Amino acid sequence: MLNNFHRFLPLFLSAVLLIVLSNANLCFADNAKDGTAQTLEQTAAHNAAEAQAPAAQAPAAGAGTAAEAPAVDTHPWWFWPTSLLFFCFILGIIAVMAGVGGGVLFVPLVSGFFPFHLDFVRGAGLMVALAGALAAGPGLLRRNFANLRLALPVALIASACAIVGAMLGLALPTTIVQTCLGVTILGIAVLLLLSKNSVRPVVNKQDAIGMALGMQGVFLDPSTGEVVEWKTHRTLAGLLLFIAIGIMAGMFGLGAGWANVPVLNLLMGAPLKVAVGTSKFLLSITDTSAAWVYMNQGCVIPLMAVPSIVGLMLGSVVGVRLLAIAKPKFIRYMVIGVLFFSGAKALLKGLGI
Amino acid sequence: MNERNLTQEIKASPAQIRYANTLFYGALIGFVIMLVTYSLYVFGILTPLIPLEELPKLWGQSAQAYREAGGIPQGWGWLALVSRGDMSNFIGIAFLASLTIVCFLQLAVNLAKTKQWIMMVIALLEVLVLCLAASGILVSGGH
Repeated sequence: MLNNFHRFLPLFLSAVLLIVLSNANLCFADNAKDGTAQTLEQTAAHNAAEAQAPAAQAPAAGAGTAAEAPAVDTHPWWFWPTSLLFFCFILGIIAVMAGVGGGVLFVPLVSGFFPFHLDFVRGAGLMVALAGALAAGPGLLRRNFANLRLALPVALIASACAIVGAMLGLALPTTIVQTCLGVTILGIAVLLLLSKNSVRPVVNKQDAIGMALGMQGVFLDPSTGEVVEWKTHRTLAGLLLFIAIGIMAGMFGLGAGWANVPVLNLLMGAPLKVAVGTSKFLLSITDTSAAWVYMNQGCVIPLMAVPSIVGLMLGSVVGVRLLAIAKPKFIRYMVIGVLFFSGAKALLKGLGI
Repeated sequence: MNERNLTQEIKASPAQIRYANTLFYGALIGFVIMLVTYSLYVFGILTPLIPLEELPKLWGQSAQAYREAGGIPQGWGWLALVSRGDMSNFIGIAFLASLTIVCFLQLAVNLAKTKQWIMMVIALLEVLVLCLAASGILVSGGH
C-alpha cells in the first residue's frame, strides 16, 4: 500500500490545501459581513496606565485611516490560531518537498486567506523563516554545507538592508506594500519556473574579492562520496544583489531563500548544496535583523506567530520523511501554481480590485 | 593541495562547530521557553494584557492601530509587562532573535584568536547591525 501512497500524496496535499484555503476565505468573508465593530478604549486605557513607561512610543502619524477599516471577526479567539496551526503544518510539508522556505508561501497565502493584517502576517512570516533557519543551521554548519566564510560578508549586507526594507515596509501604505508583494510573488513564481540550478558550476578563476574574503572551501558530497572543492567568482555582483535581496526580505517578511540560492549558485558559482545550506543559514541572520524591527513595532502577535512556527516546523519534519516517497517535481509545479494564484490575489487586493 | 589537506578541510572549522553548538542549544532553550509561555498564556494561567476574546477585533487592523487600541508598548516596553500572558511570550521570541548576536560575538573572539582579522571585523560589524535592529531605536513612521 505504501508503494502506491506516493502516487496519491501530492493530490491529497493539494486537496487539503485547497480545502483549507477555501474554508478560510469563506469564513473570513462571512465574518466581514456580519461583524460588528467594538471599541477597546477601556482595555487600552487600562493597559496604558499599567505600562508605566513604554520608552519609545511611536509618533502616531496618520493613525487608523478609514481606508484600513478592519473586518471584525466573530469566531472564537482560538479558531484562527488553530486553523493556522493545521494550515502551517500542511505548508511545512509542501515547502520541504518543493524545496522552498516556509516564508515565501506563508506571507502571500496567510495575508490572502486569513483575517490578519499584512503587518502581523509579515511579522509572523519572519519569525517562521527565522525559526526554521535556527533549527536547520547547526546541522548545516556541522556538515560544512553552510560555510561561514561565504555567509559572513553576504549576511552583513543582507541584514543591514533588511532593516531598511522592514522600516520601508512599515512606513509605506499597506496597499502599496500589498501590490509590491503581489508583483514580487509573481516574479518568484516565474523565477522558480525558469531557473535551472547548477549542481557544480564551473569556476575557472576566483576573483580578487572572493580570494580576499576567503570564499572557497571543500565539502564531502554524501550522495556520491566525492570531495568537492569550490570557489566563488563574480563576487562583487553577488554582494550587490544581496542589497536588493535584504530589502525585499525585510519589506515583505518573505525570508529570502528563493533569491539567495540562485545568486550564490548561478552567479557566484558555489555548488548547489553549499548554496542551499548557506542560504538557509543566512536566513537566521537576515531575518533576525528584520524580525527585531517588526517585533519592536508591535507587529508580532504571539497568539498567531507561535502556532505558525510550531505548525511549520512539525510539517517540515513530516515533509522530510515524506520526501523519500513523494514526487517532488509535481509538488514543485503545484507550489509554483499556488504562488501564481496567491501573487495575483495579493496584487488585486493591493490594487483594490 | 594534497589529499591530507583536503581531508582536513572537509571538516568544519572549530569556530564553525562552536557557532553550531551555541545555535543548537540556544534554539532548543528558546523553543522550550516559547512553548511554555504560550501554554501559560492560552490556558489562562497568566492573565494577558489584551483579553484573548478581544484579539480578533484587533488583528485585522494595522500594527499602529493595534498598539494604540491595546496599549501595546513599542521596543523593549514589553519587559515592564512581562508578567502578563501575552507579553511573556516575547521572552522566548526575543531569546531566539538574540541568539545570532551571541553566536557572532563568540565567533568574533574565535576569529581574533586565529588572527583572521577581516572576518573578525565583519563579525563585529554584524553584531553592531543586529544590536541596532534590536535596540528599538529604529522606528518607522507607521501607516
